[in-house]
Amino acid sequence: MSEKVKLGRRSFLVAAGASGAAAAAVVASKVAPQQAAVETPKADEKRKGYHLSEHILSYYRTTKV
Amino acid sequence: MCPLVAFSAEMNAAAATVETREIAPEDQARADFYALLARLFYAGPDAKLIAAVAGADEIVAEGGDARVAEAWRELVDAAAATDPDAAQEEYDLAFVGTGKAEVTPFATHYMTRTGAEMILARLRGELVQLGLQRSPSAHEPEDHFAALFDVMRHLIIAGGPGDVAVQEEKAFFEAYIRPGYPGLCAAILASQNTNFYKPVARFANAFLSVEVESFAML
Repeated sequence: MSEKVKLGRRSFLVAAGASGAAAAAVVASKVAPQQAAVETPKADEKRKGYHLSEHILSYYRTTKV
Repeated sequence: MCPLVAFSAEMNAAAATVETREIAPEDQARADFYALLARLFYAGPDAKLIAAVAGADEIVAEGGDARVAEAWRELVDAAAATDPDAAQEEYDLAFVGTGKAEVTPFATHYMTRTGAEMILARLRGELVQLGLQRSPSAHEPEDHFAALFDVMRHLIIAGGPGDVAVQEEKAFFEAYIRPGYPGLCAAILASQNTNFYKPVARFANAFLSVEVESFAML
């Protein structure tokens, strides 16, 4: 894949508003409201993406019986 | 009853190498949108989620393409006007129901050309290859849209910036999400039981149509 193609796709995503990072992050960070309660011992800030999912998954497990 | 795909041990080990990588803002945003959609299609929103969406910032589309920004604004406005209890009831009525749900949240339902069992078998094989598996407490088939959106989120976050990873995202999206999402969104919009989920469907439709076009560029 050429750099041009990658750049083209990137600009398209930004132009189309799929770069609403701030808006989306605010929501995603609250997708799992019980984060603190289910946080894994090893969780740290650097692993945001990962523990977001772990939180979500745990959240699902705890709320939907 | 969790339909979501969980990470296997191998995948968690692989994640260690991901930590040092910077994720481009647009990829982070895509992952976050998928996370939100996965959550909204998994179960009705609770009060905190409704409040978070209602209080979310506007999206500024930097080009002339405002479809995601407009759909997002509509979703934010809808959340502000939605009672969480009503939204949860709405989800259960439309997507769960007793007997056959009015709106089926399973992708193979909207992919009629190949048999659902064949698609499911292929999907299970691919999830194994990706190092993913259904969480132990999950009973729903893997083609639940919440699970498919969660796989996309995972692929974006864990996949790395390389061509191979993006092609993996594209292949998964094209095989399991692209064929079914228009049918899902149309069914939600046509339903008499949906209210909050109509703007959810319009946002999903807008975001996923951008995904279709962006993958087509690869």
